[in-house]
Amino acid sequence: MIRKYLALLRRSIGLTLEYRAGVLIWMLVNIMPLVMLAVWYSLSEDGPIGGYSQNDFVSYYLLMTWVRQMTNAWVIWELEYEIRHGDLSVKLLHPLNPIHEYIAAHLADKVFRFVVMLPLVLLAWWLFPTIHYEATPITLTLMTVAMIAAWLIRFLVQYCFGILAFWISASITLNEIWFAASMLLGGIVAPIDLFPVPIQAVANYLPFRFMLSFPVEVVLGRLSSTEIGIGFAIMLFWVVFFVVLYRWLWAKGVRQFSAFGA
Amino acid sequence: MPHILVDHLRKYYQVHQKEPGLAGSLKSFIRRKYHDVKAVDDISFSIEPGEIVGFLGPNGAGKTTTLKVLSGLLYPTAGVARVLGFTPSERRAAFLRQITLVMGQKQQLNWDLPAMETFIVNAAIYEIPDDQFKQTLADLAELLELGPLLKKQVRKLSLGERMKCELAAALLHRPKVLFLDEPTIGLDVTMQTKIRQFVAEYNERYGATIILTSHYMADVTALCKRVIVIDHGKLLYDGDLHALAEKIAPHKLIRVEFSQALNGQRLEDYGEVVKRRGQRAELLVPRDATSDVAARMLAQLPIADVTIEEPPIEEVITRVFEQAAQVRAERGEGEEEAEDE
Amino acid sequence: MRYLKLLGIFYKYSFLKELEYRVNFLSNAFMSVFWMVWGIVSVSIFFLHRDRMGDWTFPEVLMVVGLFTFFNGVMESLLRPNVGAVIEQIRDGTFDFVLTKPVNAQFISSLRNIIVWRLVDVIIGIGLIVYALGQLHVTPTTGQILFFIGMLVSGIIIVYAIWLMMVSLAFWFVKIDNITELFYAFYEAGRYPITIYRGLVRVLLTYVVPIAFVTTFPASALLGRLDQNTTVVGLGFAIGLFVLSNRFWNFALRYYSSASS
Repeated sequence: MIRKYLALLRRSIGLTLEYRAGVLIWMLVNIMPLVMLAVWYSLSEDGPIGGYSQNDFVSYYLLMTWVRQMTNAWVIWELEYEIRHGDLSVKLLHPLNPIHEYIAAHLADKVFRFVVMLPLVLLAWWLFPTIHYEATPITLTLMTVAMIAAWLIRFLVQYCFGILAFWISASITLNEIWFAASMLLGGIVAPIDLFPVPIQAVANYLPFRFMLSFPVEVVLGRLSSTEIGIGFAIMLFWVVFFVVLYRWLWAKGVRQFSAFGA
Repeated sequence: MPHILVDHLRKYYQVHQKEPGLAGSLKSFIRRKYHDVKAVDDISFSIEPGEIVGFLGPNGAGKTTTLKVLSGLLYPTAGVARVLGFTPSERRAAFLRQITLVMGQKQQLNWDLPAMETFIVNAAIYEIPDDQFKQTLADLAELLELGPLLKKQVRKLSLGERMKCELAAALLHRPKVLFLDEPTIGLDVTMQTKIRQFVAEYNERYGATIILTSHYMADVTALCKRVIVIDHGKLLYDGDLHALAEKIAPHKLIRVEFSQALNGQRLEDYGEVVKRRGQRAELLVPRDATSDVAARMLAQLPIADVTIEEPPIEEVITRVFEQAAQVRAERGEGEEEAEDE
Repeated sequence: MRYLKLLGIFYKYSFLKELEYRVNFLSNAFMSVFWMVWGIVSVSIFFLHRDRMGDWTFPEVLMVVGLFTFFNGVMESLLRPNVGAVIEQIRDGTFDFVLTKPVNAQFISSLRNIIVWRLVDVIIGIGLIVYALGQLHVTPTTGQILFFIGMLVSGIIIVYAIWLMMVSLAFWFVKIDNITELFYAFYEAGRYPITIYRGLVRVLLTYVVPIAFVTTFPASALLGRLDQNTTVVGLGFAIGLFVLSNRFWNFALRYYSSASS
């Protein structure tokens, strides 16, 4: 299996470099957290909002930009296209689950983004000396784990929506709705802390939080150790949930595909 | 033990109908109508190791559907399909490692990278040991004249070059069973010949079992001793190609060129006149009477040149389908075609 | 006149094509409403904590949301389908057929396709603006309505010109067809009144990627905050941008015809 991944990765990195201009643009497109930062920054000019000062907003959104870039997934567009156009047949003839090829492509993309983001991160660090995080080796490790989980959830959710393309033509639309929800409940439009309390209570348990906000929260220093622990437990639940859902849907989907073919 | 075994195979689809125009669009918007398409309707055959068998049939006959069932992409509605002892629709890794399906229209090579990159990935996916990979690649490169093509971006290759690389990619793992669906489609004549030679050599060298579908009779006549004729999902004929020709078209074709105009003699007296233009003519003559008729013509007519030929295989096959269509019409069956064969 | 007739035919066939996909139709209409509601919800979060954004009250910001939706509809229904089409045509070489037709290539390329159901955005966007005006108990004067229409028109022209320039880029950079996504990213900033942004950002959004003219200024017009001069500047800017984009398009065409492979 490792040999297969290495080979797939090697090819994916080649492809990512081929498309580097396009990938750069996709990275630039990820601008929403910065737009929201501009809004909250101006709103909090005359005083903190919900415990977030202007500086806090800067800290939050800069880190959120980083997290969003590094946990990005786009598999639904490729999967849905291949299912709709029957190109999936070619992948199904290989003795390897197609998901691995997509995972390898995402891994290669992450490597690329990391290399591009690194100088920008350092630049931000220099431009905004007042940003503040609880950056200890422990929290940083926890954040990395949370980011991997975040990417897994984002990837698997998209993959599941993509699998629905075996039956329906509205997968992309469903994904769009999920995306809109995650912009709100995942902490992009506003940190979850700024929602009305009853909504916060629900949002804390929903998968959206663990797709974007949670890795940021871990390092931001507003959560107690207990809260971080509970967060991890919920996060683990969602990861397992979507893995199980994916496997179930995939088996059903392939069955459906081989009933009608393409 | 046969490599491929098919027994009373059936594959039915449900397709929805739509009438053209705005009214039709609106109607189908509100309520869909479905009907059954019998893509494969009770087909049985078995193929021994090392055979090269040609599937013949018009578009929508069920050829590609059968191949897809045999390669595991589709599962049967009823009946049995076994390849190398496996049930294809289970899509076991061990099964997939021993077969290959080459589809003319779909490609597995990545557009933006050189073919070699896809080969390396396939070597890993099919768990091909390094030395075997090198050996097979060298063999394929030699047979297909791949040389400089491997390092060029696939996007920049011509159609023929791409097809060669596709074939190589499909055969890297030295599959025991090959399903070739229209492998020469869209290629120029030289390339078609090369591919044919390649398939024949591959079969000889590795003893692979091959099923080939093609619209080009030349592919089939060059490679396949045995043909299976499929039309409207039914198996019409399974056996030797030339035996089929003799059975369906018990005629030979006599082509003549006259040295001068005929002096009131009627060509119709000698046989069925198929074509007549100026000084040339073609006649169909029963097989066993051919030599007699030819002799008579040479004696009685002013002939400059004469040849005796087998009727083109295309015509033979077309006649097979016409007969089948007649039978269907008599039975009052509808004209239903599978969307993708 | 002929061009109008052609437009009619184009749009009829696009409509027929869409009826083929009944789920698409339903989901498009639904998504229009969904995104506008989403826009309102996200703005509401700000107003949980402050009673003004910049110096705009909640109903006033709703007008900006309405305009954002309106222009989104214009782009999604009239402009975006064509960018994709042109890029595909360039990729598979069928763009030559466009050039050989006896119709202006710019016209046919930029306006041929329409996704009818996204016009729902246009309608509900206007609806939201009307509702917001009702909430404010404000009835704009005739002059303000004229300025509003003026800004609306210049907004449409500006957006069209920007899209035309993006389409033109496709002749050189077939690989970066996602450049339209970049525009959308900047357009996101237009969800909120430009006045809340500060300094460099505001300048960027007014003159470089002129989102201000598209979503904020028409709202300002209806609220009586826009003067005659700005309206004239806006229209002038729009026309200037249109001419520029047309020149750029022709430039791109010349490059294409000389470099065809």
